[in-house]
Amino acid sequence: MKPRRPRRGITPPGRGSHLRTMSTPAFGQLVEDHYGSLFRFALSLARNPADAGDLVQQTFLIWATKGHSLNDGKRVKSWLFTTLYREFLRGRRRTARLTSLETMPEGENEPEAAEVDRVARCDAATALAALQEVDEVFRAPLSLFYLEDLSYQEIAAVLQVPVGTVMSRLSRGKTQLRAIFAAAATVPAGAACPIPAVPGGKEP
Amino acid sequence: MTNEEAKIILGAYRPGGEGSAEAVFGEAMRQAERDPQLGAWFAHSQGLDAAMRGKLRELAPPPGLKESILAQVRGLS
Repeated sequence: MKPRRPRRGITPPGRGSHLRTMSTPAFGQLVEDHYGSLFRFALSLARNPADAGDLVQQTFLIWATKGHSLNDGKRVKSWLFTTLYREFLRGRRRTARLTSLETMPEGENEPEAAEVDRVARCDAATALAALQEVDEVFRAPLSLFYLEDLSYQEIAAVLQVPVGTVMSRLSRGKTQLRAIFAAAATVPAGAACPIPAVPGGKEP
Repeated sequence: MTNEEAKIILGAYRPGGEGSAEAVFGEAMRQAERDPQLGAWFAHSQGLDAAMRGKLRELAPPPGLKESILAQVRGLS
């Protein structure tokens, strides 16, 4: 992958890089420690690997110019996830539907043993594709929940909602996810998990 | 606490999670131990979570992304 400016139309941070106060090896370690999880989170939001890569790249670019204001090392991970999520939100307009989903009633779907088997049989790209079908307002907390990088408090901080809202959104997100897998199971045998897989979402 | 309320709480449970787990999940987990139906729901929910967690961990960033990040930031300094 060639170095490139992100395609999302976001103004690159000005010069005066944080690298002046952070060594290149230290920055390399920071990237090494977090870029994988950030990419997985970005992929669940952006739905395609190119945009996900851009989001991750932009996040570290912002870190390089603004991250020095963060003195507490324990907050770095949370800061990176928060920045990535904000950049994602900046990249697209929120619709009225997003807020109306907050009042969506609980579904009737209950997890069954067959669903566990169904997910276990799927490949990673198909599981990701199912997750990406979940409405965004529920998908973001659900992705952070599964990635296990952040505590509930940190997830709430990233999404700027109370912890109780995170739990409520997790519940609704899982209901949607189960419905997606259940719908996929209604197709004939031989297509165990026919959710369209995301191009490039597979492990190389 | 109703079973529906317990499900919302238990749905957020992660094994080996936060230190405050007892305060947040304790009551709902004890209810799941007492109620076989809720207990079965919780077991299946945990199975589904573990399967999804495992699948998502398999996703790898595209080759060259790390190098691209480092090169771009190096260009700023």
